[in-house]
Amino acid sequence: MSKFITISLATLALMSACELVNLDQLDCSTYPDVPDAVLGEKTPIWIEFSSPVMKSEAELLLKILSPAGNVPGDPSWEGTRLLLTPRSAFEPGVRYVLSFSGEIGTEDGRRFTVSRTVPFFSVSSDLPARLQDSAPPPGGTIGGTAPLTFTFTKAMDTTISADDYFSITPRADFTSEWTDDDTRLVIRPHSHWSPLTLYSWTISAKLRDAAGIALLREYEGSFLIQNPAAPAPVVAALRPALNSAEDRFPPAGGALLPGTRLDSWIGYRDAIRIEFSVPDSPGADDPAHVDFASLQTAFRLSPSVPGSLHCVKTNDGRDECFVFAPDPGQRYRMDTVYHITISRDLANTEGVAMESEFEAWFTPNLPVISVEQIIVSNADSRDVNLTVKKEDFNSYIELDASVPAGYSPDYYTVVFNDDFHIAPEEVYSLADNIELTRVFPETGGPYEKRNAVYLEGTPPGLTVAFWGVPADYGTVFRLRVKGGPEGVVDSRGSYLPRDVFIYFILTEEQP
Amino acid sequence: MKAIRVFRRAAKSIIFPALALCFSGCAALFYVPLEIAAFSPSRAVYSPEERPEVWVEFSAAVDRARAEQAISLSRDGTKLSGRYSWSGDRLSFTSYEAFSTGCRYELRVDTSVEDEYGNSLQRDFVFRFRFGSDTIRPTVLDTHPETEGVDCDPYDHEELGGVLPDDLYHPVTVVFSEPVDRAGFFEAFSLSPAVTGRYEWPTDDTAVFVPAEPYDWQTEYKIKIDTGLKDLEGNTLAEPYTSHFFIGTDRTAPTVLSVESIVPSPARQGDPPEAPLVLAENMIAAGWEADWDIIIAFSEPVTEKSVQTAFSLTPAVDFRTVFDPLSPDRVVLDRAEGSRFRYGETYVLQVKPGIEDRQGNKTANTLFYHFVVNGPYTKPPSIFQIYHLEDIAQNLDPDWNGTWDWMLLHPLDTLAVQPDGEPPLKTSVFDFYFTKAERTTLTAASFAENFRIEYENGCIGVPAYASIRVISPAGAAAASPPLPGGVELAPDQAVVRVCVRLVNTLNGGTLTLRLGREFADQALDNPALHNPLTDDWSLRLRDPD
Repeated sequence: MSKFITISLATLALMSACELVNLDQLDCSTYPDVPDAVLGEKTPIWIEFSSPVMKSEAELLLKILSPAGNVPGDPSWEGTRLLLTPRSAFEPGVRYVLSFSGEIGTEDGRRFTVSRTVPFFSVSSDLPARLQDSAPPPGGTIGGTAPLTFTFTKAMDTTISADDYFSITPRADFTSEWTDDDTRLVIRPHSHWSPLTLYSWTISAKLRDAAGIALLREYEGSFLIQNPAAPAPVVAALRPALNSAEDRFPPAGGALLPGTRLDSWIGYRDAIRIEFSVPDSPGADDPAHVDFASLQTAFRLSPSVPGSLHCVKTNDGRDECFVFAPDPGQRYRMDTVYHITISRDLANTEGVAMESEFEAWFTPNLPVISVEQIIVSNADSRDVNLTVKKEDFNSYIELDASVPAGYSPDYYTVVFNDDFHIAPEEVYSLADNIELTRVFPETGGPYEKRNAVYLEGTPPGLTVAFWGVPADYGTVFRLRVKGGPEGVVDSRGSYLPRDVFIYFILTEEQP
Repeated sequence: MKAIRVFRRAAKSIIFPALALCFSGCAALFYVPLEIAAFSPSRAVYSPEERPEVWVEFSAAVDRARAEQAISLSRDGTKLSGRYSWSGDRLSFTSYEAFSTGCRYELRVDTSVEDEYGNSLQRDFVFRFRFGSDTIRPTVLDTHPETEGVDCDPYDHEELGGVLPDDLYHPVTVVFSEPVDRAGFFEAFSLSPAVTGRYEWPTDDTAVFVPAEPYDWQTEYKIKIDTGLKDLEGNTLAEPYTSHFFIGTDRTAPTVLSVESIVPSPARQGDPPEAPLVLAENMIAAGWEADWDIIIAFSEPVTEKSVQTAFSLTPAVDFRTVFDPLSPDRVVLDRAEGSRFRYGETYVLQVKPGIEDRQGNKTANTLFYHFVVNGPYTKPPSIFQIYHLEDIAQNLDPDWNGTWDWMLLHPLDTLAVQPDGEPPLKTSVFDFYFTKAERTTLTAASFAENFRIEYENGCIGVPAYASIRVISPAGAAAASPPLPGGVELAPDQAVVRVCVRLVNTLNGGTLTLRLGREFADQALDNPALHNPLTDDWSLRLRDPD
């Protein structure tokens, strides 16, 4: 037996010496060769064999593993050294693993099982940055203009555009800023977040730290826009105001108009102040302001009166109140119910919309004025030729005005009701609305006015005398008092609802 | 014996070493599954303060690269990153992120891990753990508005809307069995159809949703809380919670009670006196007056917005819809100033669907009301014949044969006009015969204002009017000169007699009698009521040349 073993060993030694048999082990060395070495981002890794190996087998077994899986690489050979160059640069800070595991044959036909596992890092072995804190915390509640802040464990790469790693749903326009040594990201809405909205945000791993190491993972969270300190605006009431921008539209007295109907509420060209309720907002440093632009969208007056909305400022530039003011020369009409609507488009400066639409109705405070009677007479004699009461106005039936021969009906007194009132300087403009024309036999006039006298009293009356009124019997005249807002208007803006006219014919006065 | 010796030798030299090798390295020869010999964490629940290490120990030496790929620690389904370390066959994983409560962790080793002989785990190793001692799921104890049960049927709901208008902003209250994670609540809670609103938390276990916009009337709202809702330690709702409520207590749409006319005041006193005319749907009513307005009464108050475009008249008439909030159950269609129905025309009033009551119930059908404008009081005056008499003093001519030479005028008739400068000057007469409405009269003033004799080329001299007067049926017999042909006037007729001096010139041409459309009659019972001509009227004549 021992002889057999001796002969066998001798044979093996002889064959080995003659290179007929190779008893060497296959040795391998790698780069990196020790765990957790730090490589450059494009440094190839390699494994070198002590004997030439089957290259195709070796290329299949050499791998670079990362947390995301296999890293594709390009193999190349330098003698017995197999290099694997990553096609893309290694990610800084990522822990990769050089892996060579399996059976491989040498060129001289031997087979060996090789297992090498060497973890390594690229660029840096630092820990990746984490999101340490966010404000608001997930599910937190903030106001419409409040920023979002995200605090990271390391200084971050501030050259990356926030659009590349930060996203928010629903979509919102925002600005970003890095503070606190680039460890804190502050996101601010362009104007304000959409109120009462649940937003979801995501910060992706495209964000890197200052060394280029990607964020640990993608982070996400949500927050609710709800600010008790900026509650929805509430229109409390409307208030009459003097239509004077110079005086900042001071209150004109008169009742507040809540969301109901008030008749005889406002002067015919008064402004309307919009009063908001002061919200009970504990903790609020400053009550939320109403957004004037939204008011311009939300405000509607029907029927419309040409006018505009004004934002009245305090001396220090703060919004004091909002006012609707009719344009110069514009007015509210009599016998008209106006409907003011302030829709839910109204919002505060954080975009919080009014919860319920405000509606109110009013009629202007315009006493009804009327012509009670018209007296036809002669300027010289002052004899009354015809008295027409309002029950007979606006009839086409000509009334008889009996005059002495040669006397013309050139003197007219229009008697108004007791509510009528004008200032002395308004007499002639009032008289302009009284017109005398001849209807038959030929049309004539309107006749020129000689003078006008307003008698303030109970009842008040306006007397107008005309030039050149003919005195021929059978002549038919028409006297018209113009109505409507362009006609007879008293000092409070009341006007005759419509024209008043009479027809009369000159007849001979009977003795 | 020799055979035994040979066997012993063989056993010594071959079989025993082979068996020894076999028993000592059976893993290399046979499949022996790899196992997880030990692991940590090993308890399902840890207190929040505990921080267990994370590791697994394999039953044999493994391929480390594969093992690192095979192990994972995830939190709520998201894999955590960390670093690996080895101690013998123990693989430790140190997460970059600390453990936290309210999350579910899972330690997993998949079957890709192999020992050095290629044996792998028989199946994935999975162990779940969490932090916090609370393992009881949250439940919904109460909601308001509420239903009787969680799985309520569509008809098992609460109705709101009886108290206007607050119910349009009725808050939704959800009471849980324990405090819940607010972020999770926001994600899990939904109201459908969607309503924006704000959330309030009077206590940690009670959420209140306050609408910031009104609910829609006649709408069922569904409250849903899905299983994403978690308590503060991560226990989720066992099953989705649903509830629903309905906005509206009145399901009845408004109806049109009546459509009738508004008569002027004072009304016209015919026989019978003028009175409102009630229209019936799809019936044609006769006797409508051209100056009436329309009032529509509803069974209940309606909204101003819904009636503004709800009415139309065909043919078109300019009108405005007047809604008085103090009388919200009626609407007036008020003709615009100067607008009136055209006499003789048949109109259709269309009431469109969509008129809403205060709880959003809308009329569903289009209603049609027909009426013919042929009332007795607004028939416009109309000229049906004209006579001309060349000389009003014909009877003073000694040669007069007792017959008045009235001439019935037709278009382009030659008018008898005395030549210019031929004495004595004559006054000619035009009698315009009108039909007119009941309880009206024609007036000289209105006629004078609107009547003209136009002529071309100076074919006649400037007309000199002597008089214009109206002859009523009652005064017809006394007219002088008498009406032509002894014609009697019917009650609905009148004559306007125009006396005018006309002279013929040497120039030839035509002359035209014109009456403007603003000529109007006069109501006897209301001085402000007038029926104008339908259109301008004219008659063209030749002069004698």
